[in-house]
Amino acid sequence: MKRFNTSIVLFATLVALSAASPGWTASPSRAEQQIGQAAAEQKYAFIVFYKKNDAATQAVVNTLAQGIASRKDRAVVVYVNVADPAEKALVDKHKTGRAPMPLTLAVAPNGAITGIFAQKLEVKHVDASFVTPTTADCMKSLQDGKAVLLCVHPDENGLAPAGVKAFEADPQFKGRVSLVSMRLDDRAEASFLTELQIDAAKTRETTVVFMAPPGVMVGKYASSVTNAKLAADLHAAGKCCDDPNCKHGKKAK
Amino acid sequence: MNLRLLVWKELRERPAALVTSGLAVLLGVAALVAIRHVVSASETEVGRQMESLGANVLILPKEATLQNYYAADMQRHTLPESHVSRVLIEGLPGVERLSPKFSTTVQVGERDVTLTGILPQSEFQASAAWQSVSLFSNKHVGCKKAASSGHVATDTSPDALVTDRSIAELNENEIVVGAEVAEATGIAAGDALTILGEEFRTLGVLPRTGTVDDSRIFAHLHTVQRLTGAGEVVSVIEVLGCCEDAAGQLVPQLSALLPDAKVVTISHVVQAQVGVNRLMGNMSLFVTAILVVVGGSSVAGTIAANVRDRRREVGTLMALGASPGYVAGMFLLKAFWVGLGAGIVGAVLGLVAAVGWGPQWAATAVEPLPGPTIAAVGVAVVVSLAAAYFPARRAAKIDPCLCFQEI
Repeated sequence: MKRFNTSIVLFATLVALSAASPGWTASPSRAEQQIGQAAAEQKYAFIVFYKKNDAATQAVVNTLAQGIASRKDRAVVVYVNVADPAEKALVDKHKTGRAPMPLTLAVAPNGAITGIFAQKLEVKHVDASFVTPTTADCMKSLQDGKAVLLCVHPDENGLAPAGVKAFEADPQFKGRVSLVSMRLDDRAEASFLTELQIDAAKTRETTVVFMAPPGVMVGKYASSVTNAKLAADLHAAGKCCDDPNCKHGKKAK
Repeated sequence: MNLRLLVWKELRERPAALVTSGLAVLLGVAALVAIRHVVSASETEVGRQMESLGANVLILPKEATLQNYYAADMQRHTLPESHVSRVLIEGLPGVERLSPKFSTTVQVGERDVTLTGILPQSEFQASAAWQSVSLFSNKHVGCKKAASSGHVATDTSPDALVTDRSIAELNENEIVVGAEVAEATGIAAGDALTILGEEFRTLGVLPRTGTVDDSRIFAHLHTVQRLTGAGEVVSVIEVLGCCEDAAGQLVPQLSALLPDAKVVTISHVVQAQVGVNRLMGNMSLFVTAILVVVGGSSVAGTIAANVRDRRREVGTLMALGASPGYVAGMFLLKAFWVGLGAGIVGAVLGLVAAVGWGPQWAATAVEPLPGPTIAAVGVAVVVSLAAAYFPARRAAKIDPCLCFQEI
């Protein structure tokens, strides 16, 4: 009996120690597992955060079912009750605990949030959440707090322009810039090219598109763009409008 | 006996007449000085608020009434905290920061203090990702989002609550204390303080602002909600806009997004105050008119009566060789002293009233202004002299033989 008690105490101590050690992490929740599984299968995860299974939640569920009916091989729906203690880590990660419910987050396979919809959801919102792979890459970098230099090459031999490489290596921006490449003739990216207003028929050289967090289009440039020009435009993007009283304009002076 | 001594003796001999004639002038000057000071302080405050808060927008409960921007959260009505997320999700251009607040009154020692729950900006970092979602869906119109190059130096000290109306970091067990509360209770940075049964660590003491913020204690919004059992609600959401243009565009957008809320800019808030200032400015003109008419009539009546009463003395003086100018100067000098004395006493009374009660009338500290004060005294002197001019001229025309006729 005494040996049994000692074993229990030893086991409890080991459990407590392992739980307290820095490397210890809780196992993923059901929803986290589903999201991880979706990412591994290159699928989008539509996470529905809800508090009550009310009419609004049911409407979102129905719209989602309609929206992904034709894309079942590309998306899964994950339901998360924000009051469920098991899902606290996921709710805290996305800060959705106090958001208007139901809230739908569309998460691309690379982890980028490509859509966020509060209370109401329409099929067109679901459609718009499926973005091109390069769009998802750009969004992921921006959401990680990094600026994006997107090089749109006319053919497969395209290289990042010297100015872009110099900017990426600049100690002032090193580690805070993502270099993303895509091809003009990539059909999968056609909608993204339209968004970027790049005419594939008229473009003969590499085009550089510069984006900065949280979601600002800094500019589009020819391949001759210099490091100094990119740096200057990034700083100027802090000035958000031409209003002389604009706070950012005052800071820039 | 010279002219000044003669006038001085006359004034001393008839103090009742002196007080009667000067009273209307004194009261007129006092009212004029007090009103001008309060209006000036109120206009300065409105200008300062427009300059520092012009780009800001307040989201309030529909039932809320608002007279003072800084006291916007001191209302019993509330809004759901989820409205903060709705604004963030919408990704509206021109929105620089959001600062939701929820306030309640707590007792610290013997003193009632406003405990205000605020959300530090670190709470919004996760939702910054939401903004990039609208990069391609929301085309920028007018004032755009400001890009971050990743190394923007932001003020992380508690003082940012005064300068930027928001704070970068605030743990759930920390408080920031207003200057007036700190002075009254002796709390300093690092001190522990128990509020509503929970112990807090003082992160810092704010510099004096001259607003209701001086008498507040700021804590984490979610802690205040938990301690008061209020639930996930806020009293106000302050939207810190990028520029005034953005604020103007935001009002209709936010009103459409949050139909159960009232959305106002600082211009709306100060509109009532501007109206009151205009009314008081007009009132000061009215008081000036009263000063001229009533004060002037009073001085004129007193001097005219004085001339009538002193006809024999005036005649005697003239028979002894006093010139008409000397006689007129005697009455004018008397009016000058009445105007100057009443003006100075009235100005002092007006100043005391404005500085003492001004903060209650104008919700701001009132500083003495030499210009309007001296001008009011000048008006009193000019009115007195003008009122005494005709009686003095009549005195100068008195026939010296009149005094002999009566004997």
